[in-house]
Amino acid sequence: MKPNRSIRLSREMRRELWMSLLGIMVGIIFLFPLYWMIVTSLKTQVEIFQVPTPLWPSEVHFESYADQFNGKYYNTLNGFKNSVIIAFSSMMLSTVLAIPAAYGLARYRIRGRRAIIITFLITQMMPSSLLLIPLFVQFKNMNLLNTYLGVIIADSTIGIPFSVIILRTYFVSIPKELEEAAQIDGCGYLSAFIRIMLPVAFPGVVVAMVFSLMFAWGDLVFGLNMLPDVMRPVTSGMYNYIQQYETVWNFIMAFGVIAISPVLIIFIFMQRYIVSGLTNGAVKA
Amino acid sequence: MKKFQSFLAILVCLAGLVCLTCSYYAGSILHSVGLSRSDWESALSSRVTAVDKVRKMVSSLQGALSKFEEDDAAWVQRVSDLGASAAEAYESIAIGSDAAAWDDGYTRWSDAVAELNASDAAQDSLKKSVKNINRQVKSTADAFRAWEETAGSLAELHFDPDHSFQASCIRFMQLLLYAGIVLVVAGVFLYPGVRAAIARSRQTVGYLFVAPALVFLLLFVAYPIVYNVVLSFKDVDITNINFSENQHFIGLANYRSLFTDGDGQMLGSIKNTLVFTVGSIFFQFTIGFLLALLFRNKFPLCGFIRGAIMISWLIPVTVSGLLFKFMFGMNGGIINQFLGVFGIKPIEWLYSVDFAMPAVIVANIWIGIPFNMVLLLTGLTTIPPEIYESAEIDGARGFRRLFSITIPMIKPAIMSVLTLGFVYTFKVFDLVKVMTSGGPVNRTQLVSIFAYKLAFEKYEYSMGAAAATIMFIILLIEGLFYIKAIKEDEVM
Repeated sequence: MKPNRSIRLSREMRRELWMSLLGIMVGIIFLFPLYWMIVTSLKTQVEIFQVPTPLWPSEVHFESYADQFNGKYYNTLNGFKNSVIIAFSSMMLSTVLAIPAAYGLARYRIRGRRAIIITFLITQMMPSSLLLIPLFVQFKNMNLLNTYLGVIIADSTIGIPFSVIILRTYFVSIPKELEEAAQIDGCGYLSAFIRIMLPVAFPGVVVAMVFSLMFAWGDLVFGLNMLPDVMRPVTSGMYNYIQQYETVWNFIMAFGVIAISPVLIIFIFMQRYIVSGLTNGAVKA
Repeated sequence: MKKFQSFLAILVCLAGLVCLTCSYYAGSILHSVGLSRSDWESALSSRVTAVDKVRKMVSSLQGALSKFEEDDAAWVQRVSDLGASAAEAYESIAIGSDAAAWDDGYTRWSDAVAELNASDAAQDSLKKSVKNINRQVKSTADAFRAWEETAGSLAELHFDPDHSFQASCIRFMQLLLYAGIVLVVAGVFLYPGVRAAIARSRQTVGYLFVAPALVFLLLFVAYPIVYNVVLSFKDVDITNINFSENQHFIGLANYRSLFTDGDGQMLGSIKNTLVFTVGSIFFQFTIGFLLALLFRNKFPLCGFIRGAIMISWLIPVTVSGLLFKFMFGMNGGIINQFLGVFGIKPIEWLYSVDFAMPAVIVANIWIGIPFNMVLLLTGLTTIPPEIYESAEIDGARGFRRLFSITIPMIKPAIMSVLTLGFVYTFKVFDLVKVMTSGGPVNRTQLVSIFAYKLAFEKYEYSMGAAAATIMFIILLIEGLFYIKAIKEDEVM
């Protein structure tokens, strides 16, 4: 029987090899745009418009990265600062509001619970362009136009419902006995929540934070319409700027690399959590 | 000790109430004097834009008038030409000696008469343009009146722009308001027995946990949506946005004019959105499903590649939009060069009427595939392997296995992916805004782009709100389908 078995094994290995090759091809096709962004950012203008365009710069140039900071075109440093302020504040606001709400919806059979969950689900689906017009008028009346706070609130309208939905499934999955034991030991509702549940649900909280951060980081319309030039985050600031410098592609691509770098770094460290959060938020809801 | 605590609680509550009252009176005083800096600024800016609007109106009126004059002169010329040729043809018939000349003259004559009749249609269009001019005159007059009114309200405000005192007054007033609310709530919670009473009722505790987020959503999502619907029934544009007394309810007029006026842009944008959505979802789903089938297997580098693919879904859409704009471009665009290898001539993708939409869809497919793949992959992992084993014994392999086991087993995941994909694609805005901004000739103008253009480029806020409301209704219906689908799953 021995030879037979070895043939089966090698067939299995051949299958794996083919699938690996296929997977690598898929990966190459898929990541090509990103590769192209990085390569273009390292080229000179001449090489970009050369036909046929070289797939790798003959000489690596970092000028377009230097131009991000010397104020030749768009002041990326300032935009980055604004993005950090807006995205982190929005993340904090979203998580601080979403954690207790998710916990309340997971653990307490309050009346109207289903209706509230459905409200969160539906608001998660609302496009930001739909909220833009009324929020613009509303913020105008509340003196929130042209302030960071206005955009932070606007960005949180995406982050909060999403965070509530994914955090709720986390809290549901934690065994009830844990907090019941804590309450028997004399913990109040609030301290049972803070001391017992929060540490256990920490991975879920991290996912919610990451998603809120990325939603706010990627926002275009709110920053574009609710803030003056110097306060705009990278995305909308740059969008506004390329209208004039549309062909300086190496500069724009270098900007793109800088703008996505925080997202990439977060992704590299949080990949597993992000995938689980995505599936929790969408399928299980 | 307890007495002291209740005394403290009442004190805090009272302080909060004092804050609220102060803020209320300060606010009403400020308002009655009309000393709001932002009011003054917005009045000034709306006056400037009103002037702009009048200017634009006048120039478009002039354009329409000169076009009318041109049309009119051309029509008169044409009619007299036709009349002359008809008369000439008629004469040649009368004096025609042989049958051939008569035939020829007759055809020329009947042609000329037919053309004369046809020129009646031209006259109709002239009449229409006269009507159009009349309407424009009326709206110009309206705009002018609005401009005059802004002068009045500006005078009423009599604000000194160099003084920031008023601005700090307003800020102080707002601070008082927030402090008052916080103090009152804190006072109530401080009062002995209140917290214990709350803790006794699980209902109340639950509501308190949910309340902050719910209040936020009601304030900044639910209220805006309702406001949006109300706005769509009004006639708010740049001339009266700051003057609620000049805004009127006009019922469904905005919706009617969306569907009848404006060269069918509304219907066109709905059609574009459907094409965009169906095209995107079809490919996203198909490719995502195939990739999920590939990545469910274990092979070297499987996890790494699967993770790396996720990046396209995570990077800010503005950046991916710029990236694809570059790749689809004429100058140095890699896609044209790639197609050139197969002998396909360069296409000006984003500026071509036929190819702009496919280009935008391709970009959106790239963004959306990971989402589809991950959700379907999760669905696939829930299928117990024993089912496949028993199917193998029964002789089901390949496509049979796919269609009679895999797809039915992950039907919930498929439904969820498709409905969610519909919602997420239907609301796409950033990508198209960055890549084409709705052009060329509105070929990629989605409903979201159209609503945005109406509100923020033409300053027709109510019209924009009406377009957005139409989108909201479609999304709401789709959202309810989604909720129904997951309710059947019993995962809620």
